[in-house]
Amino acid sequence: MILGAFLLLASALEPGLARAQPEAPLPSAVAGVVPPRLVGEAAVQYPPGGAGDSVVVLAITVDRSGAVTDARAVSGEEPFVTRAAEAAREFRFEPATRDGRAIAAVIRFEIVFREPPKAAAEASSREPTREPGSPSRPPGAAPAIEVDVRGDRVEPAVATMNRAEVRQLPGAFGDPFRAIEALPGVTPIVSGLPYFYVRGAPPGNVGYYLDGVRVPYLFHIGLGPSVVHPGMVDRVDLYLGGYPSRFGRFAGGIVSGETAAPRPELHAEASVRLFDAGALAETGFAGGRGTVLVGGRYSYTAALLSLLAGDVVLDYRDFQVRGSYALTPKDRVSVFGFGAYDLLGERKDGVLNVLFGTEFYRTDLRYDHDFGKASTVRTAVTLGYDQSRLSEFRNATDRIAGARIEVRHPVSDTVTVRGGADGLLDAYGTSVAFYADPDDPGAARIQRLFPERRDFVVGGWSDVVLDVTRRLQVVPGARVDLFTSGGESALAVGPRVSARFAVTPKVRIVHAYGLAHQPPSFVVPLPGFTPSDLGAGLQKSFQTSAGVEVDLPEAMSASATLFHNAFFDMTDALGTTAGDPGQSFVTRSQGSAAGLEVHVRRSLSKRLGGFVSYTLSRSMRSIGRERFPSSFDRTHVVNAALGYDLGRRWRAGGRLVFYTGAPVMMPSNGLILPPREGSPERHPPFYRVDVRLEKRWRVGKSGVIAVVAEVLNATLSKERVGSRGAGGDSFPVTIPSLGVEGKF
Amino acid sequence: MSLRSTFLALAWAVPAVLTGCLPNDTRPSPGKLLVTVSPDEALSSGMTTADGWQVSFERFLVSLGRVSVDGDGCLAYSDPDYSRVLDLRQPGPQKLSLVYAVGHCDFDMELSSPQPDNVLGPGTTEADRTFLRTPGDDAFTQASGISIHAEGTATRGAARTSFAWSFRHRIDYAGCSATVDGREVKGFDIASGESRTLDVLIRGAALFSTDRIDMDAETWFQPYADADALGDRNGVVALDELSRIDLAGAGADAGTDAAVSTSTRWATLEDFLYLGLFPLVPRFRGNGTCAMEVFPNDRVPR
Repeated sequence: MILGAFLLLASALEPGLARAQPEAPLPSAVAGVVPPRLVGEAAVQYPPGGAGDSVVVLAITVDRSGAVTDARAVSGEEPFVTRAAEAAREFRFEPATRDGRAIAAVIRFEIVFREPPKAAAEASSREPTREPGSPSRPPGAAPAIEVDVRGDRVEPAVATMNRAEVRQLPGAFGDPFRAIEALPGVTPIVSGLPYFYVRGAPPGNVGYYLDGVRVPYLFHIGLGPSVVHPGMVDRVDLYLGGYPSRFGRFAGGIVSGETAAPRPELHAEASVRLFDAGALAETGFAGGRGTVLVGGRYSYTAALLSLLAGDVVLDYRDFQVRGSYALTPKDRVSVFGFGAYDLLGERKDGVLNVLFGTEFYRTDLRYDHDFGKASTVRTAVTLGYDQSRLSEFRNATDRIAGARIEVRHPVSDTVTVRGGADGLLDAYGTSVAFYADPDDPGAARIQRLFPERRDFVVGGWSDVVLDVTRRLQVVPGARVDLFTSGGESALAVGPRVSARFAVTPKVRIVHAYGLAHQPPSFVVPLPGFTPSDLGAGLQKSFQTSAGVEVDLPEAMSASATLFHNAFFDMTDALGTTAGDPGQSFVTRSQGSAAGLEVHVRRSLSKRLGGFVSYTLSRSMRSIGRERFPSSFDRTHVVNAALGYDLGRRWRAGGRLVFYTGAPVMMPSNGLILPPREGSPERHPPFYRVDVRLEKRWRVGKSGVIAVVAEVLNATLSKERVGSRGAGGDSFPVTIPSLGVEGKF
Repeated sequence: MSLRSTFLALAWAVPAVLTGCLPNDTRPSPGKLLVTVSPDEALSSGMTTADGWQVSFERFLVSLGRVSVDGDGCLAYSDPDYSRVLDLRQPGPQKLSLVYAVGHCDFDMELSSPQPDNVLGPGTTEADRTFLRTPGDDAFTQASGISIHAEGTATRGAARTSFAWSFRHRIDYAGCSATVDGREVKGFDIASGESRTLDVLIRGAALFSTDRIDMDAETWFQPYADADALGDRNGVVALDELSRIDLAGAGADAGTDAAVSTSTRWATLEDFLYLGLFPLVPRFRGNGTCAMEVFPNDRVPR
């Protein structure tokens, strides 16, 4: 039996970024815009196997005809999510309008399931009952929770995962950022280690952003949970190549996390796992004009380890603080602070020897203004501090100050102009090596790589979203960046263009092309570790892809994409090393990557969901006359996952990861060697199985408690990496997790 | 304070409060240990063997370094993970490494072919480094670099023979000890703030010793000259020609050394020189010994 479906808020027009506030007057908040209006009843059956009350929030895309073209779960649990999304696809709306013209829109839609009385349920076989007035209530009269103004179409050539889906992915531990490795185009370095190649681009060329703020690294201690509480993350977008002009300064892929919009009603969640505990809470103030969010995670592995190995110290923690306040219905100021701290060390004679130590902090102060007619502007100032341990109590630091402005303006119903500019100052420092042999080339190399300096980059970007026809969208754009570092400077001009053409309503062709630039980068992203070698030029990549997307029956979808990337002047020490990375940090290489990506999926948040992603690729590097496969080139990479709601709030899932072997590294050990082979010996293939089992209980109207058991690499598979002949080159990583989660 | 000002203050204050949580250095000041390398007299001035040959060295290159100190009672402050190409024909002590530590420390070092960026000692050139990095074969290794290269001549009366030998094994020396003031001392002691020097003696004479262990044992060259006579008679003693000399027949005290990890038993003069004598060319503090592990200098890690 349904009790109600409430249209929460509506609005959302064309691609955009600005967010208004719950209490903002709805249609009038964006002048001239009228949100979609539900036509008829929103009848949703209470699902079989369900128990208790449940709340599902959907993101529903309504096209210009009023038809629902997509319904994704933003929050909720099975089996209610599947039932709600399936039902929502049958809804009919009066389309949103701007100045009287129909436009596409995305709305957030809440469906409240209330468990029917048993007798009634049996009598009616759980036939739905509409809560009087609720579904057809005019949108503006519904209890407003959130206004979410965003694009009606996702960018071409982006893979998106939302939290509701990711938390069901075995081996991801509920972290949206960890789920990236399951997407096509992503090639892992080592199983369990969340650093990866993206279409042949090394980890150091993959940029991480959270709400548009650059993040130096994503995972605690390199392989642990992500440094941002999952409860903050609404979705994660992976741009494999040819990405929008607003992203730049990375020659590989872009991982962009978007935080959930501020919510004035009190909500919270917490988790306790074997190795850490986390919590997040948010509430409103000033009658909902303002919101405050506090979250974080703390690892107590140090205490556990002290019982097992007293000399080992392992500590990690992170925090997130967000405050926002609507000065007027069209003006909002926000501050978002977050950071993380990681420490792995060994204590000897009372002295802590740090083996791995990093920390970073960011504060982003934003001002958003809505000009009306979907024209928005965001100005922001970002401050940051990064620090990592180099060696022997030497730290590399980066003090960051930046400012940016982003503007979006629909010129007409079919043309939207977006643009922005920013400047970023990185003041790098390397603490003095008090106790180092001045002749040590290793110490000198560190000093050359990470000298004290100021890097400054200023750039601008713009693109135009052109709805050429109802079937064809083209987004041409470009960005220009001027980099300066240590007296050197370099100008980068990067044109981009992407297009999506709907051959039929269910079949689309997607193209993306772009030229991307990046200053020299380190092997993997670490706070404060940015090499100084701008004099040898920028890294460059020319990224191309062409693919087809198909909507399949039963809410399934599939895509197949061909890609080819060309790399120039890369600092890919990992991909070109012969086992002597110390010699390769500043070695420049050329390269290319080509392949095919296939993705077939049904949302894991459905009662039965899963996906298969497959990547066939070849990534080559060349240095001088040498041409050889990248050190982590893997011909075949397969990820397959399946999740099923067992009923009685039990849910089980499994995931298979398979990939063929990387080339066997042959370290030179300093020898002068002939050119490397183009077809080297390879390590054997690897597979692993991850499993996840969850039991949930309802608590009150919207509270949930869940016990989650999860194992990454339940098969205890060992992986062979690195050099042949080294005794310890089998690399087994098995991570078990048992935790309790709760939220309301 | 206005709301906007409050936000601004917060924005600046948060990073300021939270910067720099990584632990600081609270250790006491360390001692400073300078490790040097010196040639023996044979390298500097030549030597006369017991069988009457005058031996002089014209080129003696050693790639030595990667000094590390550790141990339960040792607090190491630095890890000079590099080696040097040394020309032991140069006079006087040469710097090998500078180490900071406190306590009683074990001493380890490595004899291996050089890395591209290792340090060139006095008198050595890039060509020397390239030479040592060029892989080659011998009876004991394949495609390995060179750790020690010795060239010289030996004369006795009108007889004149030269030699040019490249030793390609990498040798890890660990837990070195030496006899100091009549007692065996393992490693070294160093106090906070102290500066001291330890020397590693490079013994060219060791290549012509009749005994592996006894540093005062007699030296010889005649068996080496005989090897060339049994070989190509070109006046240059090659390593593989030494395999023609039966060790037992020549009368060397091959002995055994538990510190040598190789299980190979040497039967010929080539075995004795390559496996027995060459690893004992470096001597910690002039007379010391170390536990040794022997590897090829090739590209495959062991």
